[in-house]
Formats: sequence, C-alpha cells, structure tokens
Amino acid sequence: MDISFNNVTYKENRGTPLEMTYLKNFSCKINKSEITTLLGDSLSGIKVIGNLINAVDFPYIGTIKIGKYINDGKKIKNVNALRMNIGHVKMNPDEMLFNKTVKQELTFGLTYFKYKLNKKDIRCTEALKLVNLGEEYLDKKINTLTLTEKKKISLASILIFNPKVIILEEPTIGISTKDKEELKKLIKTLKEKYKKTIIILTKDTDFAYKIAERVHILYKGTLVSSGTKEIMNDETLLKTYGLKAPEIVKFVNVAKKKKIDLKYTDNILDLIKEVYRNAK
Amino acid sequence: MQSNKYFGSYYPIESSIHKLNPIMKFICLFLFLVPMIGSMSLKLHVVIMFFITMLMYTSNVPLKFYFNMIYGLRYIYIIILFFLASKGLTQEEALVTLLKVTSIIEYLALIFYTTSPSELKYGIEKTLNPFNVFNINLSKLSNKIITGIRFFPLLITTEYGVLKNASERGLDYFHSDILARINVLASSFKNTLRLTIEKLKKENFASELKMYQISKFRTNLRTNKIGYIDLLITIIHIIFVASYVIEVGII
Repeated sequence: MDISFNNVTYKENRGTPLEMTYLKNFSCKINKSEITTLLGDSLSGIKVIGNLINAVDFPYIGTIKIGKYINDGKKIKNVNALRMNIGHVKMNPDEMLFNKTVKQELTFGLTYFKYKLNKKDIRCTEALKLVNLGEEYLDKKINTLTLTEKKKISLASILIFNPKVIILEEPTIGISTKDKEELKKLIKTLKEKYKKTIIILTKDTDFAYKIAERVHILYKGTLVSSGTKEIMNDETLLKTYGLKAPEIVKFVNVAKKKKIDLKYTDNILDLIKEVYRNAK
Repeated sequence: MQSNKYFGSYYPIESSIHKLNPIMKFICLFLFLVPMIGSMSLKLHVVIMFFITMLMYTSNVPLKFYFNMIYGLRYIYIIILFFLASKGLTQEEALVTLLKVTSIIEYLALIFYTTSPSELKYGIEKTLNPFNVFNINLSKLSNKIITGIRFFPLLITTEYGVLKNASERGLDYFHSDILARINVLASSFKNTLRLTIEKLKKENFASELKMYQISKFRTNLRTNKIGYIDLLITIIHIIFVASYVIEVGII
C-alpha cells in the first residue's frame, strides 16, 4: 500500500492562542514493502503522521493518499476497510491500551473489524509469541504490566489483525537493549517474510540506522532531507536539525579524520572486522 | 487533539487574571454570590455581567469557549424559562434570573479556566481556613472538591483518547452517524470511566509525592502574591455587595 502526503499542513487548537502548526506544506512518498523512517525531534511534527494516515486526524490543507483512500478532511466511506490495513502503535502504550485485560485488548480489533474467525485464542497466542510473551499474559490486567510489557502488548494488539502497513511511534523508548534487538528482528521478519510496509517515527538515529531503507528528516513540520539511510552519515546535517548522529557513524567519521579508511556499516561486528583488517 | 475546553478544565496561558492570587479569587467568589443570591435589580446585574465580560476578555482565554458553554446549556435555559413562566414572574424578573444563571456559570468558568488545579486546591484550603477551629481536615476536603471538579474534564479527555484508539481498531466514531456514535459512546463508556478513576488516583498520588499531604496540614505550597489588581478586583466586588446592601435598605 503506497502512501503519499501532498502539501499537508496540520494544525491543532486552530484559531486560539494555543494554536500549533505540526506540519507545514509537507510532501513525501512512502513506498510499499519498505522500511521507511521519519526522523525528527519532538517538535518536528512526526507524532501526527500516524493519526493522519489512519484518518483519525484530518489535514488543515492538503491530502494524504493511502492506497485508494484519500484523507482530505472529508468523511471517508467505509473507513474501517482503510484502518484494517493500518496498524498504529503509539509511543505511550497508556494512550493506546484502554481495555481491562490483555485478551480484551488483543481481540478488540478482531471483533470490530468483523473478522470471521473462530480461533481467536490461537490468534492471540500467536500475536503474543511474535512479541516474545507467553500465553499466561492473556488473563493479566493491563494496569499490572510494566512499560515494556505494555509496549509489547500494544504491538501485539495491532499485529493480530494483520495490517499491511505498520506504523511504529518511538518504538525504542523505555525498552532494554535486548528488547531492541528482538524488535529489530521482528521488523525485519515482517518486512522480508510478510512484505509489510513499516513506518518508523523516531528520533533514535542508532536504531533507525540499523534498520531503515529510506529516511525522511523533518524539522519544524517541514521535510528537510530525504534519501537512503546514507544521508545519516552526514553528522552536520543531523546536528543542524536537532538529531544525534548514530554512534557507529561517529566512530567511522573520527577514523576517517585520522585518515583510517573505514566503510560505513550498520553492523557492529562488520565494523570490528573492518577495524581489525585496517590494523593488520 | 481536541480544541474545545470543558467546564472545570484549565487553560494554560499568560494573563493578569491567571496571575491573581487564588485566595483572593475565592474571597471574590463569595462576595460575588451575595448580590447574585439576594439582588433583583436589573441595573446591578447588567453592570456585573459587563464586569464579568471584561474579566473574560482580559483572561486571554478565547471568548468562544465561554459562549460555547452557554450554548451547551441551552436546554437548561429553556427549562428555566418554562419554570419562570409557570411561577408567573414579570419580564424583568425573568431577565434578571437568566442574567443571574449566566453570570454564575461564566464566573465559575472564568475561575476554572484561569486557575490551575494545584492553585485551586491551595485557594480552597486557605479560604476555608477559619473552619480549622472545628477541627475539619481542610486539605482532605479541598482535595475532594478538586477531584470532583477535575472529574468531568478528565472524563472528556479520556473519552476522546479512547474513541481515537477504538476508531483505529474498528470501532469508528469520527466517520459515523448519530446512532452509531451513541453506540460507540455506550460501548466505550465503561472503559473510559475506569481509566478516568485510575488517572484521578494517579494524580492524587502524584500530588502527595509533591508534598501535598492529605492527612496533614500542608505548609509548603506558596502561589501568586496578592497584588494591586487583586485589591482592585476585590474592591469592585465590595462595591457590588454595597450596592446590594443599599438596594435592600440595610443602610
């Protein structure tokens, strides 16, 4: 499912002293079956992208084309057919989880998207398995879970209805290194095996560098740079727009300054091999 | 994101009304209630309404929020009109009663829009300070009052969040007709209520962590100082009370 933003301007609290413009003439194209990362700091406007794609929020000016659907602020006929194909995982799981138990949360999408499935329990278990949680979580109450567990449940609650597009909002905040690695593996599997379109909205450049195929950088609601992940090798560019360069890139850049020719890589093991070769 | 504000919610913006001392705000509220309850003078109520409109304008809160509140209560106005008609009141008396209701609603809205929850707590607690002689736990009482006031706006905010998330997972509210919307609201209300109560508990816990100790007398919070504008507004309120006293012929 291709997604394109055409000159989108999005404002909140319009016509009041608290008016805030999140996106300003924003245009960008997200290709299907690709891992696209939208990078930006907290005021860059990336946080509204998910709601706009899902047609929960509406643009002030411009249109968002999601497959055959268009979000231009008007009522969309059969909007559930659009939302069935889009899974949006929010940064703060507490904003997303509203049911009492994990099972109710997981089956919510299945119930209201009217899936003709009798095997809901099996589907719940499979979704939990994907995020490395056991069957015992099904009867747990949401308010007794930790932040990491809640994040995993929110991801499972959208994976369960098998959407074509998965939007992950700041997926790495508050999770351990081990969980980050698991998430990376899961995203790669979803993309390679199931041909999902993955959109990651983040400021975590380290994670984005390991996983992204295409990168868009936003600054104060405007698209400032686009390309493959090689654009993240430019430390000055990232710094200008309030982002930190990935540690691996910083290391290679320092080496290059000292006239040691290292290749940019997203894998730490490859970098070690490269350093070892140079040392020889 | 919701762009409307609801009764009891705080509008975070800079203004001279926001900077007023919360204790003075509550003293002014008590003074304001005297002519509101007692007086039947149309002139006095028109002047008070004009004064409230001036305060609303100075508060920098968009006037549409105040007017939306009157619009939201339109059915209550109609009920009041029918009630007044059945009591056989004159046109002037009916007008004064409607002005009273509007003034009280807008005055309370003005206080809630311009006073943060912690300032409200402080204001209520300190204004009720004379009742300490009866050995009442005022911290607990003011906390309960604030929890009650905060409940409705928090419920609306939580409901909005739940509706958005439910819409993303198949239970659509925003593209539905009125009957479907009622159905969505009914299905999500139980969860919203549970989440609102949880949030209120968390807020109370957070305020305890910030040294607002419900079981003890609190001494650490000091908010806005009493300034010239506080005194000016209080004097205007005293003038309103005085004109009421003259009207009933006490003086």
